[in-house]
Amino acid sequence: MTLARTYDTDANNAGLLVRLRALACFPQMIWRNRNMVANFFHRDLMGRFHGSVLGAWWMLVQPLFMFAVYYVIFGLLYNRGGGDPIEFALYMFSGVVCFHALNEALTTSCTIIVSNSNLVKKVAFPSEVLPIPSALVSLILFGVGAVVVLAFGVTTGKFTPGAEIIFLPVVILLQFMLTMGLGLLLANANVFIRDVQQFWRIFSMAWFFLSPVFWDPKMMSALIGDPTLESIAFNANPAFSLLMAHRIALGGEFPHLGITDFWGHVGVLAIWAFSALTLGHMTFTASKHKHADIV
Amino acid sequence: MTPVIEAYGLSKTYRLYRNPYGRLLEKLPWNKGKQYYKPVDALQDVSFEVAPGECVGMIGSNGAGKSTLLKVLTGTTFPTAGRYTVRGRVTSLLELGAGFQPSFTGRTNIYMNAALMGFSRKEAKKKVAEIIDFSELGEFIDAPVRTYSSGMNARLGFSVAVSADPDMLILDEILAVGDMNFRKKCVDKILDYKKRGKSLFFCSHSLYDVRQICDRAIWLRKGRVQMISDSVTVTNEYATHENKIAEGSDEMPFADVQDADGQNHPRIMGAQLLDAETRRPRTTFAPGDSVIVRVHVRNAPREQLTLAVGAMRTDGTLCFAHTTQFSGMAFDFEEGYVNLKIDNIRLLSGEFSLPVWLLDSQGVHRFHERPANDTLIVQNRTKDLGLFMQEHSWEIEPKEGGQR
Repeated sequence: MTLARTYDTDANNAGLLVRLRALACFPQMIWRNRNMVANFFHRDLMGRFHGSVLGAWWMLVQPLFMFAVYYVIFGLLYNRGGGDPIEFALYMFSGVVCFHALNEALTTSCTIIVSNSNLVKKVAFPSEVLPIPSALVSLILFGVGAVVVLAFGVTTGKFTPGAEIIFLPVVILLQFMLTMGLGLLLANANVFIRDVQQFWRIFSMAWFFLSPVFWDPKMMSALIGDPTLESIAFNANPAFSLLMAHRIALGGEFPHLGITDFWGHVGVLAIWAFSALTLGHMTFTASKHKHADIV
Repeated sequence: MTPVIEAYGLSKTYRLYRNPYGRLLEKLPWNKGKQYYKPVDALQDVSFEVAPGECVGMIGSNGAGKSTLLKVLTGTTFPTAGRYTVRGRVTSLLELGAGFQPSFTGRTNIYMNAALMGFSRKEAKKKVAEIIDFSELGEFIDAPVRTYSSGMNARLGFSVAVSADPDMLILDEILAVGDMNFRKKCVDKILDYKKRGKSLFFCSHSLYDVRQICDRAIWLRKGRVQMISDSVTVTNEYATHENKIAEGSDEMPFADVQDADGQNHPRIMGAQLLDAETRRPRTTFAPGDSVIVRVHVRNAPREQLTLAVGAMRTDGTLCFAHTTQFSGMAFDFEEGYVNLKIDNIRLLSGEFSLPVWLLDSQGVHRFHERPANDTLIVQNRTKDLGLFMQEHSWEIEPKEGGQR
């Protein structure tokens, strides 16, 4: 008998070291439970398009249609300053696709424990894998959107992707870590305080406008004026470096919009991703034993 | 051998918060020392062990903490004090079809459930045919689970759980579902599973199931272990206890026959139970013991009297009533005892009150009636069920060339 599961209330006041070790083993744990994760992922993805005629094609149709809308509305109708409509639509669309992926995964994660209460209560399984599928689904949606952006950008000649594009997987991995970390944090908090999911709706909307989706860094710099304040405002927002890194990887640098310094953005994103995952995973594992009693 | 389950001093206290913000408020520094919840003790100091290959049942009334204990052992909820160790691969079935996704087909759900239980896709694939076969779902396996009846749902759930072939199976009250056929299949599977030396821990309201399937039983009462012993003893004690509670709530209707003019009528002064061999007072017997019901009668007018003694189970069933009249005996002493001697009592487990009637020689007019001072408690140590054990034997005749 090799398997043994022991639980001792006296020994359960696990210190920081134990939590950190659990965090270090997180990738290994995901790998061990890959079949479970794959099944949840399958469920999420299939559940999304279940019963629709187009099925998984919606993943492509949605961004294509969205791009058309952005082109017409922001490129042609509300084009401030008369810039190039395609470039403007591409800029915004690439931001929207990325932010949307992050936001959607986090919104799902918020309620992931509560909505799977039946599982959490009745089945013993590592519940920290629950936010993974929605994070993966969001990455897929982002991937499809990114392909659409890249296809339009390159064919219209607006995008000239540099060598950074081969580091796109690194950015995506960091995005995954950021999504997971914040997702675990939100999922855990929402178990104890249900207001989190309501608050999140408002907050994510504000976050959307605070991120460089509709505005570019040059524009914001002119508005803020002070470089220190500017650096704080930009780097305090994980979505800023994420969006910038993605844009440079996909379309190259745009100095006239202030989109430069790929590695600087990747560095800030990495700090965000690692600290979010550490905080999220540690708070989640520290209090997940209470989940089943509360949900 | 190392036990598969070791539990020491397990306690679980739930916190019932008065409002949803209590959890938040009590964390605030200026609210230190204030209590925003009502503690509810679901388990208190529960300790036991389950040996490999042993089958342990758990009984207790609603709210005794049975489900909480199963949840703790499953690992979905955690004790507030104590420790436990569970060794080997454990499959837990707290609710049939707990992880099922209603919009997906039965087949997809098999894979998903298998994944939840820690199977690889390969292992799951190997078992799918077996699971579908056992569940008897046939072509419905490719229909969405939301279209299933509750019985079909339960069948699929049970099939998936037992297919895991764990070292230990934890079941909560699940034999109560499904039709008779499937129930039989489940019991067979469980017994077969037991035969192969696997352990089983389950709770049930069916004393019959606990007696039949389990070696030992745990009786939980108000979160504490009231008794741990072999399943026959525990179910007996439990049934006796439950009956006592039932008796406390409604009085047995025994109206005294009113005397018309004082004390001159014949009266039953009292009746008590004796062990027929030692002639000493005793109230608890096992089937096969000999019992004496000794009735004290005062008969001032020296009437010709007959006497009857019955036994009434707590649910009001009159199990027997014997009278001296049918045995051709009458008596007319002024004061004395009438003893009913029952050799080899045939009643099975239960608690019986003993009504005594004092009648005229024709057995028509009742002078007096009252219950005996003692109640008779019978506890059988065999697995027989029902009211009484009659002498019986079996003959088995297979029919040659018959259909099936």
